[in-house]
Amino acid sequence: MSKARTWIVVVLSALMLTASAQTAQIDWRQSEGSTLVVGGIKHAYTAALEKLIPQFEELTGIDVHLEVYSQDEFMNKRLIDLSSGSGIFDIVMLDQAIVQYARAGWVDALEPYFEDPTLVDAGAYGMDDYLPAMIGEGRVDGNLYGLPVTAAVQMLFYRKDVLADAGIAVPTTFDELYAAAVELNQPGKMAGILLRGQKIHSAWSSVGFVWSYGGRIMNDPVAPTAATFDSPEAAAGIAMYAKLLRDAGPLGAGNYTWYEALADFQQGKAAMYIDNAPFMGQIEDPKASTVAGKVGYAPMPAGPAGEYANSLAWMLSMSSSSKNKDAATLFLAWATGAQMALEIGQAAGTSARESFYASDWVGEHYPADWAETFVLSTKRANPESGFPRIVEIDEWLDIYGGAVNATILGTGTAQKNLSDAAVAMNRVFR
Amino acid sequence: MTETRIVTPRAGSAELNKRGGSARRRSLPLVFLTPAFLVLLAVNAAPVVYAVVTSLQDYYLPFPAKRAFVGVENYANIFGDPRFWNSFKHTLVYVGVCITIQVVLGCFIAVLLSQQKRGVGFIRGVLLLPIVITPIAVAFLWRLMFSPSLGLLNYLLGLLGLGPFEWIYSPSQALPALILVDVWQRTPEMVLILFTGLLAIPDELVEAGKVDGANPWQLFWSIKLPVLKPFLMVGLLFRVIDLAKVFDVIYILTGGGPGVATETLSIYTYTTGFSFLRMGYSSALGLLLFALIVSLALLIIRWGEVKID
Repeated sequence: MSKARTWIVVVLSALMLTASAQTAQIDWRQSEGSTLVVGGIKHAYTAALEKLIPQFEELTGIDVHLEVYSQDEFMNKRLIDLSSGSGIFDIVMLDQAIVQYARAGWVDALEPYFEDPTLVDAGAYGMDDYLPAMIGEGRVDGNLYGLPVTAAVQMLFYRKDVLADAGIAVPTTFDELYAAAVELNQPGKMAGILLRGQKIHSAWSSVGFVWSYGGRIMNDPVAPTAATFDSPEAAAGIAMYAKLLRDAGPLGAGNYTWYEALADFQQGKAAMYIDNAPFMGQIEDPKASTVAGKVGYAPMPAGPAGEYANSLAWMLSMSSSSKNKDAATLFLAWATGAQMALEIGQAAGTSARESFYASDWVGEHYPADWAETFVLSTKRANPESGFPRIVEIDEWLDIYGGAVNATILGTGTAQKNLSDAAVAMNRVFR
Repeated sequence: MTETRIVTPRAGSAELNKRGGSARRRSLPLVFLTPAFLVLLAVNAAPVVYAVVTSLQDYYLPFPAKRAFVGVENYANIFGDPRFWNSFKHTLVYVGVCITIQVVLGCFIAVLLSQQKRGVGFIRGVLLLPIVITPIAVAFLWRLMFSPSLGLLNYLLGLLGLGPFEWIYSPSQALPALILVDVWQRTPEMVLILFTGLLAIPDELVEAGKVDGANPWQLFWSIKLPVLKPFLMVGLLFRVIDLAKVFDVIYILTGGGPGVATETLSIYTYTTGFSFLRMGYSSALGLLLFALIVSLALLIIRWGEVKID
């Protein structure tokens, strides 16, 4: 009996907790009986979301189908569904393609829905709590098209043991980073540094270098019309990026995506690595990584013009072909609201909300230097978005990334490659 | 799901009873063929026609309102596009080198196999293994093995004191590495086709050759090969079509990189369509690839006197 009573108490308090999450002063059952299809990629975030969806269905009486695909497959499905207007997905996960989707009218601006007090309780939602760099990713031409649900920012992962043995201090500038990487590089055994080198992947990864040397990717951070990544400053940044990989990177760095780089780092094949902060989870996972517990986390090193780490976020957006926009708004408000974001964040290990990183939970579960670096880096304002605010984003990835990649492969100087690429990019804008 | 209209024999004959007997005999096959024709029309002909129309348009997917007819501008641009010629060259090299190695190796292994007395069934089974694995899985498998730092290949070669090689991670080694994968996966297909052909050669022919004092090379070149030719040509036809449109393995292994070092026509077509969203340009590229495959196939059929009954 007493056991049963304990259970009742547990269940009741759990119910009260979930209820408290939904104290928002709106009628949650206004779209009862409708069905939503949410499209996403296979990711820790969607795995965490999936487990909590029954709570939403209970609360609202809305039936939610979460469809999860591998990244490439999802991108194709998303493109076909939203561009054709067939309206299968009501809500989709969006990435750097957001500008394209917003300007093409495939996703809706969210303000009209989120400013409607019958749909969203602004007080409970907490729009101010988003990390500025992350919510900025969702803004296109002054309107909000995506709500960030994950957050990534570049940081420096380094092997504490290796640096200590060599008597090298944690690099704080790119020149120090280069000297350390070259010194620690042992060809065939351990690379001095890992960075993404593959064409498409090196684009996002190298933008922070351009900023740090005083360059800009485009002529305008909000509505670009011309490429400026061929400036001498930008070329200096890319020259450093390539020099690091050429002189202290792994063999074959020219086709390294994060996939190869992370695997190498987990297997102890590199002393330092600059990439996405959330990779910490995989680096510290003793089942997948041989270097768990041996890694330190530091901010991206600084260039002559300052210290800039690039960031990115996965967002949730509403398809403009959705036939259940009210229900979709309820879902968005529920899933990305302050309270639920904290719960999903703990299960997924990522969140775009500042309160998550300040929470005790993060302090207990994550390395202190990581959390500190993360908030520091995401709070710093970058001169441009992580991905340029252009429709032709994939052409930029290909053209600009191609120039970075060619420099890494040693075909032509950074300046020549970037100048050629800028001409090609401006032809695309024409 | 697509619904197929099925004309049942009874309905068909009821309709046909109205006409005379000979007309009935003549039109009966047509009636049976109609559903298949309709399906073919819907899934094959219609998209091709649509692609032809699109290839004559400037069509950027995000702005469908600006879609406009531009005549042959896309084609003209393609012929001035160095990246097209780059991918065209890679396609030809890939097809040419793969097919040469596979034919030579295929003949060699098939002849050896035909002389094997025991365990042929087992060896054939083993040979089939690479073919039955999904290309996607094959690609991921090789990607792991190709890793310069953690891969099996460099480890094994390292034991022999060779390498390290960069494989798919270097612009100069990437295309040969892709060829290696296809040779590994698809040579058995050639072996099986040729092996079947060799079984069709009457023993007397070979015996007679031996009596006349032919050496093994002459036996192969003058006796076996002429008999094998129809088999070889069918194998060649299938392989060349497959190779020219190869996509999955290259997409996963290199994505056309490093840079554009392994970009083939199909990869470039995909990139312009699904990444750049330039639908008109991509359709034109796709049709050119289609034309290339058709001409290669026709060449083989003509040259190899492949009989299509």
